[in-house]
Amino acid sequence: MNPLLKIPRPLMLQAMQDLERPHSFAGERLGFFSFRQSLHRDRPFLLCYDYHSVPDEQYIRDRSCGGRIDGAAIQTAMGRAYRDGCGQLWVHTHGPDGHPSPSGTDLAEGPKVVRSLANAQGKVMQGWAIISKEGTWGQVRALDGRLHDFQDIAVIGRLMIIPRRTATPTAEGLISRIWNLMLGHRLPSEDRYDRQSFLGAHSQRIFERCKIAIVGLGGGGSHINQQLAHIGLHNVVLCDADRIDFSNLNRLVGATYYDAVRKRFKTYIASRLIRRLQPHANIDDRPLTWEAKIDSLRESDIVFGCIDSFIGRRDLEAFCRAHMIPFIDIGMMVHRPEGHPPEIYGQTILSMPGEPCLRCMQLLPEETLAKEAQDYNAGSQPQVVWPNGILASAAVGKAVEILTGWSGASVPASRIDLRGSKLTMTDSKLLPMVNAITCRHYPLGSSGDPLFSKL
Amino acid sequence: MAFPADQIEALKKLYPELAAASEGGTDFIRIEKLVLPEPCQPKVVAGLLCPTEREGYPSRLFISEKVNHSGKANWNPANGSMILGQQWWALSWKTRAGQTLVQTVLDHLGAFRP
Repeated sequence: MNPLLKIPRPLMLQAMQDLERPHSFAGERLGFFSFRQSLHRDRPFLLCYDYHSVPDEQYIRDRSCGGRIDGAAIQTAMGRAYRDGCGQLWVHTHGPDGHPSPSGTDLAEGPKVVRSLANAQGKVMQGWAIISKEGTWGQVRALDGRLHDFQDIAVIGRLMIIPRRTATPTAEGLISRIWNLMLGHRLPSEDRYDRQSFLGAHSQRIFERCKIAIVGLGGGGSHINQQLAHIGLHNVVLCDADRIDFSNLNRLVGATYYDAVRKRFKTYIASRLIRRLQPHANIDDRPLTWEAKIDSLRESDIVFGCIDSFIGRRDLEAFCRAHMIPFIDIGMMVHRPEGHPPEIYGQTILSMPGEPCLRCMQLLPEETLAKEAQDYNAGSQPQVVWPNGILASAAVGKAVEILTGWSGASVPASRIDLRGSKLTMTDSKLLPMVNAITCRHYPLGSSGDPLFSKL
Repeated sequence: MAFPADQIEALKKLYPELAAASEGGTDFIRIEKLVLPEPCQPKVVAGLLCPTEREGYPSRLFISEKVNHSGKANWNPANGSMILGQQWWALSWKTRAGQTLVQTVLDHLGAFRP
């Protein structure tokens, strides 16, 4: 079992600020995260949704360790676990940077606290961890009572920390190293990403490690796929069960006339495009819908939604929110008012866990969902290549921003709107209102496996 | 989640195993063993009742399998819905407004009859 700890960035900052405050006599501060769980046989997620500071007066003097809290502090955490049916993660820090490792005291005391927490609430996992801004070392008590070590952390927000996923080893990398040793200069292919080095010293390593899912490989998704392959993404989940036909050729990037003749799967076409740029990429290109690939999808660091259906978008966003995955949706529509020229409208929306959702951003009003559900005979919607390209570029730009933070923009706009006739993308006029609200549809505490309460 | 207590008690007389959950701000009631009318195959499935308006329907009853039935209604959405981490299927059926929970479920079951 290889558990993954996921913490929304604002919560992580709150915890680190609290844990790094000096105490009048204790050398270390301690705190608790409340978390929901997403169970999985190999890779359970601990999804933190709240942080609780321990009051100064609940620390006790103990020279044998950096910090010790009294029974009342632990009982308060036990009470939360029991009352809210949630997990508690007892945390402290050894400093903000690097990957922490446990001391002997940590290894002795952590399991004792976890046992107390499990006595209060044994139906969900309980744990303890040392955290830094970029790493963790902890133990979680599974439902069978066994303790499992974990070191994988993901920080979710506008500068992501992605899990320590092993980068795909490439033959190109091996050849480069041998070439360097023998001839003392770089292979021409090593210049490959020089022109995007402004994205940050570690940006290429981030791209190689992170895992991206694209749901829908038509006009929008195929553009996103192409750009991600150029940027250097190595782990991609492609979700689409459809085969290409001739009517797709006006906009499906990477497709050929003969693909349409042979009615190839869209996932095959997307996968082929990636492999021509990244021969060693790790691609899940089984031609299936996202609903049939949820094991792969839940592992993704970012999901791009490029589907026509509004109901499908609602369901996909719900899945992403449940697993604390940033979701970037693109969509376009051609309006043809009578007596007026047609106009293209579109939008790129970043739906970040803990922030306003697609419904908050008025993409999914109930009337739109109702209209779609009742409209059995809705034909194919008009689509064309260049607006899809603009929207896809904006979506990839948002993903690169939250992965690398290259621009220093702390809050890239959640929703950008396209006006096709003017070829403009502008921050949505809804943003001042949307940014002022707290999403009531997906509070962080509703993440994780569904919480059914017996009636 | 606030369902009228008397209506829940009445529903439990028909279906003793009920549980509530919400997703995206919508409340659902899970019915563990929902018995479908003859000649549905399979006959017993799990049900997920959304007693409030959803997708233009006054209420919806999702079931855990796409069963064979002899009603005239279509499955909508045709490829099912992912709700609360599970794939569900629902017939396109509009129930009458102002019904109790029991009446709503029985109204939906009518869609499976010839």
